Amino acid sequence: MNALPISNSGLAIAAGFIALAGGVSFALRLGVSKRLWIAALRTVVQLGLLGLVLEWVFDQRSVIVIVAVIASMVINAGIASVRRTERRYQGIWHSGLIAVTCSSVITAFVVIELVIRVDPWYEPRYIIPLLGMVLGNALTGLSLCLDRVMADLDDKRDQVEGRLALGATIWEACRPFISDGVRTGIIPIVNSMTVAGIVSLPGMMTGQILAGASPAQAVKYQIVVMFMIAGATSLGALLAGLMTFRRLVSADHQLAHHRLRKL
Amino acid sequence: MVLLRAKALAIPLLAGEDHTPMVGPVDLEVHAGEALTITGPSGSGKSTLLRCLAILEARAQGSLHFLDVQVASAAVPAFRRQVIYVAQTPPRFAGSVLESLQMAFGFASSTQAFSKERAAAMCEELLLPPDILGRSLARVSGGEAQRLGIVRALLLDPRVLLLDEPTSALDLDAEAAVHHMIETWFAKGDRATVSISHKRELLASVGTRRMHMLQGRLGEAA
Repeated sequence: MNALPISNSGLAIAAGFIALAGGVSFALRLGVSKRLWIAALRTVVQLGLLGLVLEWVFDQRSVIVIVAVIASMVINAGIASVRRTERRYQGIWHSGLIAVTCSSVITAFVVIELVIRVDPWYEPRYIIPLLGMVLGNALTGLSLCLDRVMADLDDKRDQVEGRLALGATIWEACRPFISDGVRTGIIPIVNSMTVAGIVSLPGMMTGQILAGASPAQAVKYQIVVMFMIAGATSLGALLAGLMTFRRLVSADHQLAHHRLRKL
Repeated sequence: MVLLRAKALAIPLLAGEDHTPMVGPVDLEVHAGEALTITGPSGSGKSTLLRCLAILEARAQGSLHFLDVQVASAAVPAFRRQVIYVAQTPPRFAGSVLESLQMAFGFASSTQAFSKERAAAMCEELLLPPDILGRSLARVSGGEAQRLGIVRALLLDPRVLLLDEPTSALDLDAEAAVHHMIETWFAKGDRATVSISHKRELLASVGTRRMHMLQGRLGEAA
């Protein structure tokens, strides 16, 4: 069974909702009409392009093409994870990219190979959406962690150095702040798992049910995806935190604060 | 006996930077039984020099010897327990005052045991309120935080104290109490202090050696 197709006239009716939102904004002078129209237009253009790209990608049978698509997704996620942060250090782009790659690619492949057992592994209908979901979530967690660790080592530098001054190793002095960073990074996925099915109906599950899957199967997929995201996010945040730590300290148990630059 | 010897200690000025206090090159020997006071205008690099002596400045060049042994990277934490830097505004660590006093005893370099009674007695001696140990460090006053910084350092019984304006936020009574506690510690022998002060000199009874800092250079005071 497949989902009922949506016709173009159906889409036009849905566009009426945007007109309604625009009308509300105009009537109450909310001043968001313009932004609303641009956002709606962006949704149409971006998703339309995505549809075209996915139609093309899903027809591909060449492992090289799929690997290239995966690589471009991963690189984009790595760049996005760093771009959202407020501070920079030399090598931060490497850190972001390595953390995203290791965490997302590893977990996605475990799911593809051992959980869902997709054959061949590069079957785009599975690997692309799964990787997309894990990347999207992992990059959020990772950039939250990255941002928090850098902010703490900057703003709470006196605490780090206060601990160092009393004989802490650089790891002992920084550890609380790395932990806080990783915790910050995994809060979103922990929250989603906590309220999954109670407050929110996870999007992927909803989609599968609409597409005709049995709720039991959809639930299993959703559980796998959430676990995968939790694993990738923790791993990514931890890697990002540790790499940031390594870049911002010296062998003499010092905080190399001057390597940190606020944008 | 030379406790601390710094050779060609310097922080180079990076291209394009003009606000960072440039320090050095500074050569300095701190002998056991010596109370060294550094004076000089603000911005002359006094605080940065103290931080260099505690190996806290990552950009510093030069070498540092403790008891005639050059301090190797791996030995830095143990060195810092012997040569403790006390910031003018001690950090507000998360948690209670007691936890902050106990903190250093949980580090890998620690060889001593924490005594809560001793910590409480030292707080009392510095005229801190009796309930201070249970309070959150974030909520103590500036003067209290400054005295707690001294207690944290002296609980570890170091050989050298590097004190950056240790009594700047204190009234005369509290200042006298801090001076007395440092004098008692100093009297154990083979101790030394390097301090920056604009106020009454520390260990005036011992007879302090004065040096003057000007634009990053250290010289004997006139």
